[in-house]
Amino acid sequence: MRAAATLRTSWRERLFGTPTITVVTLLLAAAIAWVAVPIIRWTLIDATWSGQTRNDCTGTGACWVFVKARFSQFMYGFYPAEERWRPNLAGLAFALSGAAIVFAPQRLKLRLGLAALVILPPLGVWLLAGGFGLRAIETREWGGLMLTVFISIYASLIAIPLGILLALGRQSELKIIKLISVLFIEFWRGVPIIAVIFLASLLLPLIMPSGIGVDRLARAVIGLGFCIAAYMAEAVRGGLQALPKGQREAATALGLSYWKATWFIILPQALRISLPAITNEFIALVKNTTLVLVVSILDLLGIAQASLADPNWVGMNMEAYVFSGGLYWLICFALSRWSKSLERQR
Amino acid sequence: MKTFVLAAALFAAGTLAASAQQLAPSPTLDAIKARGHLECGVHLGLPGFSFANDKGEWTGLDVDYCKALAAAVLGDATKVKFTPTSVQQRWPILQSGQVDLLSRNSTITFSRNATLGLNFQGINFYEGQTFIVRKKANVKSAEDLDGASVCVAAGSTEEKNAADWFRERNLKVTITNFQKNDDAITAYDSGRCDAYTAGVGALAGQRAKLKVPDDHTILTKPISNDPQGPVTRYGDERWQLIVRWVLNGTIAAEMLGVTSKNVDEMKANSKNTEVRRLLGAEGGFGAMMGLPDDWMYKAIKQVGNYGESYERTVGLASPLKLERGQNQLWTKGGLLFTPPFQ
Amino acid sequence: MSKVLAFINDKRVRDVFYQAALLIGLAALLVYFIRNASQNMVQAGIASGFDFLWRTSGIEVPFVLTNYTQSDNILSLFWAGVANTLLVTVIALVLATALGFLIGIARLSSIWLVQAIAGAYVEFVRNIPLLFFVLFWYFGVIAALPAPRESLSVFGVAFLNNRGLTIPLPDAGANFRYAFIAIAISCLLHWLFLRWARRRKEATGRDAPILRVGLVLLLLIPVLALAWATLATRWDIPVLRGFNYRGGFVVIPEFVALLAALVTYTAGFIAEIVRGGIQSVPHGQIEASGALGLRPGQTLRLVTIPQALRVMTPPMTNQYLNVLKNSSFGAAIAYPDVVSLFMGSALNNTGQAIEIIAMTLAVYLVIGLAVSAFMNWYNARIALVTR
Repeated sequence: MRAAATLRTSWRERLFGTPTITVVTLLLAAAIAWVAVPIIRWTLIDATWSGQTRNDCTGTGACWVFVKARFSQFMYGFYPAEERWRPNLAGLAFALSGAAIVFAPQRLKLRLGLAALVILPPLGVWLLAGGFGLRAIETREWGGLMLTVFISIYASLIAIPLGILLALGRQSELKIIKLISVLFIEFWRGVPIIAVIFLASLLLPLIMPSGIGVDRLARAVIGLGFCIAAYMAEAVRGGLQALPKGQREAATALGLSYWKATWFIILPQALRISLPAITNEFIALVKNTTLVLVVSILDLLGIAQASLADPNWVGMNMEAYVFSGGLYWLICFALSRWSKSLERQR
Repeated sequence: MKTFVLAAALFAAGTLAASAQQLAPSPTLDAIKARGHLECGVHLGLPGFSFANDKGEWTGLDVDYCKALAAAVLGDATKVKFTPTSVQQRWPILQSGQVDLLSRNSTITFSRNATLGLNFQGINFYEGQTFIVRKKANVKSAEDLDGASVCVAAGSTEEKNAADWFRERNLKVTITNFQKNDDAITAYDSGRCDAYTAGVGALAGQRAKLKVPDDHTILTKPISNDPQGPVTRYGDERWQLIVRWVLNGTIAAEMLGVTSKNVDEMKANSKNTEVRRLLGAEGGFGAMMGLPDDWMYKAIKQVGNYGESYERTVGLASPLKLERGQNQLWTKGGLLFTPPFQ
Repeated sequence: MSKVLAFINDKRVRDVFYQAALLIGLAALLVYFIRNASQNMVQAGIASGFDFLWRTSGIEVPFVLTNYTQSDNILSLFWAGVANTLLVTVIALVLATALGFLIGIARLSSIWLVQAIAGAYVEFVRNIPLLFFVLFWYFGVIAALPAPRESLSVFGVAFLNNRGLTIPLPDAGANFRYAFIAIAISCLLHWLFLRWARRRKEATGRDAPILRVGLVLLLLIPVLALAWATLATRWDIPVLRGFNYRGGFVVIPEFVALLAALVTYTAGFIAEIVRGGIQSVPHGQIEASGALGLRPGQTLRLVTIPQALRVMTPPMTNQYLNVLKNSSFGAAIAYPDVVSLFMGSALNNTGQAIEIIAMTLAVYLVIGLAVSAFMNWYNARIALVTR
């Protein structure tokens, strides 16, 4: 009862508490209206929604016909239409197992997670790339949102285990291991990702014995994965440092070996603490996938840009960027909310 | 004595080579046959030269050449896969062996040939650099651009050409270098620059990307010569031979009047020995390179000769509407030339 | 036998063994890669070595701080790129910190709508890839500026249009050099005065006229010095001729767009750090300082911020390093930074990918180490001294 009363008064208080607050509120409200009204008019009111070609774009606002016409490309790139059930299925498998792990009872979580980690990545690659009974589809035909999600997930599959190892290495008492970990982490954290992706795409084919090719997409994923591993290592290190020293000492006193102590005592606690930080690094990774367009891999932003080159749809820049940017925002915003809720649970 | 042994050995080796038709090894050709398709590096998206439509199907003059090569090597013009490359990526992608060749309207220059480990295998398009400007700017020639700012793709020959050309004439021009042609042309369209510079053919294709193409005009007098053609790595001479002679073959076919329509009839009935050699009716030319003798027959049947390809992709039958100009046969006042099939 | 077992089970022996194995493994891998690379390069006929650095570059750069010209060698092109990277990074750092502090404090404002707008800004900015910001500022905002003939004029001496901001340039810099020396001296004097004032206050408890002296030393003297230098110098004022303004110095739109993108993006992250830092100061501290009779402004300045800074320094260091690395996004909009000039144009002309990428990465590592070292020093300086 009291809470409701405070809430009601505080609403008025918050907006119009004192004369100063009232003036500031009104001024800001006017400013918001001044900015928001044209944006809303452009995106919604004056926009064109139905039609087939550029000629149907008669409104003064956005022409969403363009996005409609290109929608399947924004989602799948040039992935053959009759095979699109495969990325859909792979996405569903990942999403369902993710949900299963989150909602599973505590004692099953670890086992489920490990099982998913063993089964899902090869399954996903098989579904997308084909072979073994499915029609083979090369990575150059992949694109759009599907590719953004693929790169994010597979780069983090490299980055998270490697990051954990590096974080442990950095905490290690063994001087050389510590030194190597620190050098690795600081190197990748010190260089721009745009250069790393370029480096990976040029250097990987050069350092392999001639005749052995590394797929174009795989190169980008490896480059991103190494780079993000260094950032992940720092996130995990935060969790490791937050644990009292006594935890490891007690485990050692109980006779557990280093790896057993790490696996059963240290990591479960440290990872729980650093999960929000890891999620934040994952968000950064999703955002950084846009950089693969420097090596002509067409992720969501890349395919949006490529579609702008179509002479039949000239001048659709704003629509393409607003649509793809909006998708990125939705994904990252949802993830960041999740990370916040994790932080609160702690 | 010694001399005699050496001479005998040489003689023996010579006869052996001649009798068994021993070919130099060609790892590239072997790899293509093993994987069942040709890997061709093309431009990211340049209408008329290499452009993927919304279904991912590639068309264009450079693309057609790759299709012809696939038809000659594998017997099927569809057995080719295209790797789009940016200006920055093109050389490393070829050098590291990710593609079998580049057909990517890249200009042949001395330093590229000498230092990049790349060989140019002929000319499939005589390009000349020029400028696109707004009609209302009232520019008649490149000399009028004093004080202007010009957008260009970084790392292209145009970037250096333009800088040199204006400096030699003491004209003060600001050059802004974009990583991609598309970014440069978008910046030009949005008013960042007074002119955008590229080859005549490239400009004709890219003009369609402007919001109001009719507000712009392309300066007619080029400031440079930019001959372009397929590029291969150093080494593997036999592969270089194939790349070179398929290009020559498409030009020779036009010279000799062989088209995709009459190729069957010509192969069966032509009395012209050069036509017969080209189409594999006699001479066994394909076998000399380790290809089937009907290599050029397949290429012309499936893709057409150079002239057909030109008309379809950049010529008057295309949206680009480019005259043949320098890209006409030398017998008709152009520069296109091929050594004889003898 | 048992001796051998004991030897194998000795932890120290094992540690040495594992590390040696790792080291040898890594070294072997490295040697393997390098051998492959050199073999592949010889096979492909790619030139190697750093000789290309002394070749003439031939590339025209629209925005140079060094005295690079088109006929200089590629090494000078490299330095021109490094200078441009540094320029945009340093200015973006300063502006992003200022904007970030503003938004971070606004998020804790007592006025609800201010808080809400700051919150919405942060949520918006943090969840969109930086590349969108760069493209938005360049193709969206800057391109919407008028053409040269319709330039926005600032008192008839500086002109803003879609070719950039053209500002007057002094014909000779001597007067300005004197002015900057004068300003530096007065800043130094101010710092010495503050030290003296603090010592005296600690010793005797007497206040010094800090505000008045500060105004004179930090405001009056610099303004006078700059005014004198401005009036005493002949200026090269830009005039419209032909296509564009001639004369003066042009701040290119690519610079402005990249700067705006870096500042608006990074400010969202800094705002969160500032908010976290301020909220980490226990409320009791603020109540206690109130009880001691400090005014709210004094509390913020003397109690909250110094403690918040301690929490904020490590994450701020990361953001500063991010700005440095993110300046490479300039390559997307033709800002001539080291990535765009060296890894773009020069790489294309020489084809020596490995050398060029190595040099480019080294630039970022060296600058990054310098920033880290400075921030670590600063962090140590402000760290809590426990007794």
